[in-house]
Amino acid sequence: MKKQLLPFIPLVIIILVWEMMSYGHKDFSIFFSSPSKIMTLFIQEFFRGDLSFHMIITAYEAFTGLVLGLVVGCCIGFSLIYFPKYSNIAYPYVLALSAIPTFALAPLMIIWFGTGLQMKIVLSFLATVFTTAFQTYEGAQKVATSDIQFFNLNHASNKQRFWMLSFPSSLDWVIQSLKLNAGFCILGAFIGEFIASEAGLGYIILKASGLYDTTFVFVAIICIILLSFVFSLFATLVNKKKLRIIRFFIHAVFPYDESSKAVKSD
Amino acid sequence: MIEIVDVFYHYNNDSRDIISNLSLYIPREACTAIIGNSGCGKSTLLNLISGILRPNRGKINVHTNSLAYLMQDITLLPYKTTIENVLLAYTLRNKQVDIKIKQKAISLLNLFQLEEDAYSKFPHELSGGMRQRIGLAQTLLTDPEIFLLDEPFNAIDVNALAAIETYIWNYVKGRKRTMVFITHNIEQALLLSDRVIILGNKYAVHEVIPSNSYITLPPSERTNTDEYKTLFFEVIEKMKL
Repeated sequence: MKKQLLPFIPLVIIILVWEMMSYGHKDFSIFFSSPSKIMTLFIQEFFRGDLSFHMIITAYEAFTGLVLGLVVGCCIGFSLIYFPKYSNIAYPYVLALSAIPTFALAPLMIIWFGTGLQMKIVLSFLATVFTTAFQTYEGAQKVATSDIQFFNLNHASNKQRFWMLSFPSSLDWVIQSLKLNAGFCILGAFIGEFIASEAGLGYIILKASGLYDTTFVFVAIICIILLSFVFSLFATLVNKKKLRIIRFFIHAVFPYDESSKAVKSD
Repeated sequence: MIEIVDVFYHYNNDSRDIISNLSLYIPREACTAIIGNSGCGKSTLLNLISGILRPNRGKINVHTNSLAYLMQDITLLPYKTTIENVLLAYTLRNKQVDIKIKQKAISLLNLFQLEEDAYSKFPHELSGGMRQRIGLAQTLLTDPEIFLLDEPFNAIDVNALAAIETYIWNYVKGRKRTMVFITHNIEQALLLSDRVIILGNKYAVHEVIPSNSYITLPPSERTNTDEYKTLFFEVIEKMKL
C-alpha cells in the first residue's frame, strides 16, 4: 500500500464505526448524527449555494483581517527596527498586546464597531497584527553576527544594513509564520461570528446547535476544516515563492541595491 | 605592515585568555600563513587585526584602512544570486556597480571553475566548495591593500584549487598586496607564503621562513627537495612546542 494512504486508515475506521453506531441507537444519532447524513446534507447545501455563501463570508472576513494584520504588523515591526531608540519603549507594549486573547476583546469590538462585517474583520485583524509585529521584530534580531560584521567591515550604510539584512530577514520570518497567522485570522473571524452575526460559519453553528440540528453543526465544522486547509495551502504556496517575494519587495522599495541592478541591466 | 604588540584577548564570558602576550610582525607586500592547532586563537587573531574585536590589552597597528576579510562564515545573502553575491562587498563599499566590475566578477568565477549555470542560483542551492569560491571572488573583487583570509581554500576540490592558488599568488605579488591567511594544511602554508607563523601550545609563537617560493616551481619539483622536507618537519615540530 502506498505511504500517502496510511493516514486515511484511522479516518475510514472512525467513519465506519460512527455510521454503524448511528444505525443501532436512536439517541446516538441525535447527539452525533451520522457520516452519511452529514455528507448528504453537505453536498445538498453546498450546491444550493447557501453554505458556500456562508463560507465565503467567513473567508472574506478572515482574509481581509489577515492582509490588514500583515501590512500593519509589518509596519509596526519595521518601525521598531528602524528606530531602535523607541523600540525599547514600544517593545513591551507589543509583547503585552500580542498576549491578549482575541476572545477577550470581542465584546468591546461589538460596542466599537457594531455587529456587522467590520467587527469580524477587526477581530481577525487583531488576532494577527501583534504576532506579525512581534515576528517582524524578532526576524531582524535573527541576522547572523558574522553578516553584520561583514557589512561593517565593508563600510555599509545604515540604509544598506536595514534594507539588505534586517528587512529580508524579517520578511522571511513573517512568511514562515504565515501558516500560524492563517489559523489565527480564521479563529478571529469565527469568534466574531459566534458572538453576534447574521451570516458566516460561526452563525450557522450557533443557529444549528440551538435547534439541536447536530448534522448541520458537523457540516459547518467540515466547512471550517476545509477553509483552514485552503488558508494553510495558501501559506505553503507563499512559502514556496519566498525568495521571489523578498526580491520583489527589495527591488520595489530599495533603490540602493546596485548589485542586482547591474545584473539586470543586460 | 601589521604590528601586534603585547596583545591579550579573552572573550567576555570566559576568563581564559585566547591570546596572551602576543607580539608579531607581519611584513607588507608579502604572504603570511598562520598555522596552529584548533582553538589556539588563529581566527581570533584575524578578528583582532580586522578590527572586529578589540584587544583587552596591547596594541595593533595596521598601515592601512583598506582591508578585506574573508571570514569562516561566508556572507552570502539568501535572496541574492551567485553573481549578485559576488558583487555584494563591492556594492557595499562603492555604492555603484558598472559593467566592467560585473565582467571582472564573471571572469573570476570562470577562473575559479564555477559552472556557468550556477551564476543565477541562490546560495542554498550551492555546495560548500562553490560557496567558498564565491566568497573568495567576493573578497578579491574589492581589491584592498590587505587580505585576511580564514581558511580560504576549505572544501575546494583539487582541480580548481591549483588554479585558484596560483591566481591569488600572482595577484598578491603582482599588485604588491599583503595577504594573511589561516590554514590547517602545512603543505599549503609552505607553498603559498613568504613566512609561516606557527601558533604553538601555551601561547608560544614560532616562525618558519621558506627560502623559495615553491608555488613558482613546477609541481613535480616542489616537494622533492631536501629543503622542503626539512621545513615540513620543522613546522610539525614547532606546532608541538
